[in-house]
Amino acid sequence: MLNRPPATDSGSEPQSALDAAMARLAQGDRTALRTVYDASAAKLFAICLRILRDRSEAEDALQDVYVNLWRRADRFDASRASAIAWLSSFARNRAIDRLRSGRVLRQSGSIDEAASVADLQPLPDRQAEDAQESARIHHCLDELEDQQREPIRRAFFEGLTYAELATKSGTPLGTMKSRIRRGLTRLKACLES
Amino acid sequence: MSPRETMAAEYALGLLEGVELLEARGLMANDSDFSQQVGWWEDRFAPLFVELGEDVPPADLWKRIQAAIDAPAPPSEAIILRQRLRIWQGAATLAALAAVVLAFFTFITPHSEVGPISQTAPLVASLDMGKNKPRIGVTVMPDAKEMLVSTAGIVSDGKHQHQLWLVPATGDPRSLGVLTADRENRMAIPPMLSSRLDQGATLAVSVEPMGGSPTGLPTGPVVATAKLEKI
Repeated sequence: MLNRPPATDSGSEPQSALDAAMARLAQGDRTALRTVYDASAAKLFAICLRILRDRSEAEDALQDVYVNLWRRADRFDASRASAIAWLSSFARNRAIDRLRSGRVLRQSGSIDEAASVADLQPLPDRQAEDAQESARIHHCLDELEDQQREPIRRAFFEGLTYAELATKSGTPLGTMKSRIRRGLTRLKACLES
Repeated sequence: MSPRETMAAEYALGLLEGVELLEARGLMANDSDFSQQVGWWEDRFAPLFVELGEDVPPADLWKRIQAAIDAPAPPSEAIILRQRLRIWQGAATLAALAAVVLAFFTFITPHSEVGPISQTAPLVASLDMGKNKPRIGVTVMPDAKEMLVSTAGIVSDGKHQHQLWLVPATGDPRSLGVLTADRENRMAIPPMLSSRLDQGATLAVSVEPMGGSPTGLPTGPVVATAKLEKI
């Protein structure tokens, strides 16, 4: 399922090229969009696929991401951690919007089936430039109790709401909310320390 | 964390629904502290995306993107054609005229209630969906039994519809109905809600599956909000 493209994945250079291209994009430079696309499309497509679990929907979502990026390129805030972090969150949010606005059309069976892939293990070849940040969020998630960490991870990777998490795990909504809120409070303290 | 800090984290993760989601989207638009907190959480979580690896999209996707940029065609959300803006602006004038005519008509029809209530002015709201996009115009008739909702310029994607909501100060949003794209929707106001459609009442529009929200609460993105005003 995960096709790894050869070139775009090596070290910090593509990332800074991406940041530079995002700056040119904000000035309306069309060639910059191609650079951004080449450097990010495979990552963003994986994100859309994970949330939507349907290749055709994920393709539409990805198209939507870049068209919106072009039309509203000024929204990228250079004070954010990195262009790829911002783009990834942007793609995730667009995919979640699509998931929620269209969910009645989806086969409920495919959602449950796909839920079994919820616990992807971290890939061993994590990129070097992300290693420090990555280590931090992983370390801080590991500090949480299982019943706090698991719904937080599922919310992040599957785009599930409080109500959906509660239903899927057979937990009362109020219990689910307080577990996650306690988890988020601890997570924040850890991430800031 | 304060309730608002908690909400920023919840919004970044996508946990919220219904009225809380509406509130968070409002804060995103109007409160830079809040949107910065959401950004902080997104950046902290972003390294987890590495776990998803990469997946190469089909080769023709780049062409599709270019085509969509060059000739804006409906992608898959309820979409709006920029070039229709002018037509819409004309239509808005027509809609306003139609509202006045309809209001007049309401005064003289035998079914209309005579009395102070029918002498009040119609209430209107203009739901703005963003720069260069059409607005949804709502006109509540003076008897609060009917409203006219203009969706001129909105193009249906065949999968989604806009749904209109009354958002009370407390409690859940209440559906005012599902909107058909690109027309003047003349809609009955649910009797239980008519007294609440008053000056200053907040309306919202969300994107929902065809036929409307399956849950009775907004499930899709809220694309516009506005308050009812007297004209």
